Amino acid sequence: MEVRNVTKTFPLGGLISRKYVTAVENVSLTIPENRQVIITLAGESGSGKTTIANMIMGFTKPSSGEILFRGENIWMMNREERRDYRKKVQAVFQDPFESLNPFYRIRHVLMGPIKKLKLANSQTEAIKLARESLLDVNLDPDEVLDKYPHQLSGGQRQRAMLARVFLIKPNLLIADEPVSMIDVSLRAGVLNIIKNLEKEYEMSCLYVTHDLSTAYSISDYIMILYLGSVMEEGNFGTVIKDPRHPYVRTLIDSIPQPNPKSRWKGKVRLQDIEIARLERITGCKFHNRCPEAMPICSRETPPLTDLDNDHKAACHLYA
Amino acid sequence: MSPQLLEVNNLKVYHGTRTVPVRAVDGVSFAVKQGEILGLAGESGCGKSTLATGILKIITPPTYIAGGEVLFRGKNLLTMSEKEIRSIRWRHIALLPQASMNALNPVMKIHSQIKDGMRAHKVENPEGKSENYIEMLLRSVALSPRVAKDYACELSGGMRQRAIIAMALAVRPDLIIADEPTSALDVVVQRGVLEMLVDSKEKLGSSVLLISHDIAIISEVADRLAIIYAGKIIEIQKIIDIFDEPLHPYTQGLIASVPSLQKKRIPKSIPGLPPDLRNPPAGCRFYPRCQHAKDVCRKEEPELEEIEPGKYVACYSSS
Repeated sequence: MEVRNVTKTFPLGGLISRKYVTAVENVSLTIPENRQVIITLAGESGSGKTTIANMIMGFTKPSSGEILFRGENIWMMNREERRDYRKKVQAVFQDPFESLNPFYRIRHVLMGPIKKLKLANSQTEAIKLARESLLDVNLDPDEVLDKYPHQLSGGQRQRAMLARVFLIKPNLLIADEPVSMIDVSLRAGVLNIIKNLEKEYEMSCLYVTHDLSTAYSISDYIMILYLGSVMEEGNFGTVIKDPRHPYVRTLIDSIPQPNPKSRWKGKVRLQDIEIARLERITGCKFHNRCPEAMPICSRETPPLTDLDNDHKAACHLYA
Repeated sequence: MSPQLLEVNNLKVYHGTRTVPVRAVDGVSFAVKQGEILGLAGESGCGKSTLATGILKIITPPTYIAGGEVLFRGKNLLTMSEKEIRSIRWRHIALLPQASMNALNPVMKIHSQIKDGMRAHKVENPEGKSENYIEMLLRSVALSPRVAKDYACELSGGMRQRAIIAMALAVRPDLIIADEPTSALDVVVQRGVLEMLVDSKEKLGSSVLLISHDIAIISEVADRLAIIYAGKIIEIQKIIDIFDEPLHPYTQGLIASVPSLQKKRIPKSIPGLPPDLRNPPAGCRFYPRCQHAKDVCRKEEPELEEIEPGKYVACYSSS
């Protein structure tokens, strides 16, 4: 998968309004073909991460740039190629309730793809497949198959969604905040399943989230977005231990850690954070909040610069 | 004279249903000292939000107080007249409810609401001109002073949450009950808001009851931590002690389930789910999920005991 220099702007106001908001600006990312990876696409509210996920899923079209799947632009695919693409790239979202029809039992949720993709030759075989897919996600088929979504816990619902994904066997799973609505002490199940995607299902995963601590437990590569632009990317461990971009430094420093012996040092100075998101910011998106801003920062967008192996930052300090 | 600012004794708050009540808070006892930040952690359905509203008797049918007392400076809030308790609410004990964003009057300007609150609770403005004070308050929650002239409905959810916090601090209460005060806030703003709560303790001598499912944020700012499970307090310790040596198996499981940027590993889960509080079991409520369970645990519920000075636990395995 290649996201190439993708920009997405949304128009604001009425028909004649010329205002627009840039949700994503010039973002590129690659998911390799022959090895499995879990890449974290991280950012806070307004970072554009969900818009990027939506563009990869084909829900919305980039304003400029391309989304390429095995070299082919997904918006230039014919109907059959598109349908094939939709099978190869699947998603799980934050609220499984939204993706599950409350009137259908879990059995129905799984039989759907089995029938549509002709994964079984008989009803018996189909049920066997459905049961196996539930066992794969550590759900008891006898307990779950005949339940309605509301009768399951959040964690169970997500795992049922993952069981469905595995029946379809995509090449890429887009997971958008898959555990944020699940209690912390019940998340391991879903996280382990996603982690095992690589080994057992040969699937890669784009893990979209604001929660870096959870993502770090399963992912090795991270891209951090702010107001639609990439600020820093690289090997997860490297970025955590040696964040270079001033935004990323403050961000990582401010993530609460469960260690009362090592608390936040100093105080974070909250400058006027709620800048009008509608205002077009020239130059670096972070310059008006940056303690190290230089005059060039308000004029020119910093290029994404190579720092070391596998570590890049978009900042004039390094350009 | 009790040194405890707030003393909750065997509080019971139930939700009435057509059949049996849901025993959301079922005999909770703890104290908040003068000038301390007490964290209260628990997961979905543990009763923490019901507790927050129950303490101030801000509950509506079908929720009702089923027993116990809440002593504020020695006087029982639950037996006060409505007039008396109204003089305590906000002025002495401020509640920042979950989803505070919905507590603002949407068609009133922010500065009016702050002034209103101050006037209603007869707060003298120590800084002189109220405009400057309001500006300072807004800045301290990372809101531009321009926001003072905005209507609440014009602000984003996160901004409204911060405005409510500013309003609560304007009144300089003795105790702030903050129920998930930073959910939906970006990481850096979250840190700023939590540091504000620490400030109000250090500079104004306020106490804070910080209720959250997020143990990490509690560990960054709290002095002590109480754990609530299935409507009961099962452990209370000083914050460093509880992380060093959690006594209750649930606490151990909870701490083991929190991810950390300092160590890359998939956190553990606690198997099973909390009990149905319409029909809680006779013995320990954690029994079905406990690895150290003994026969006595199934039959008789353990009481919360102070096994060493400052260390409280409700468990047969640790006493």
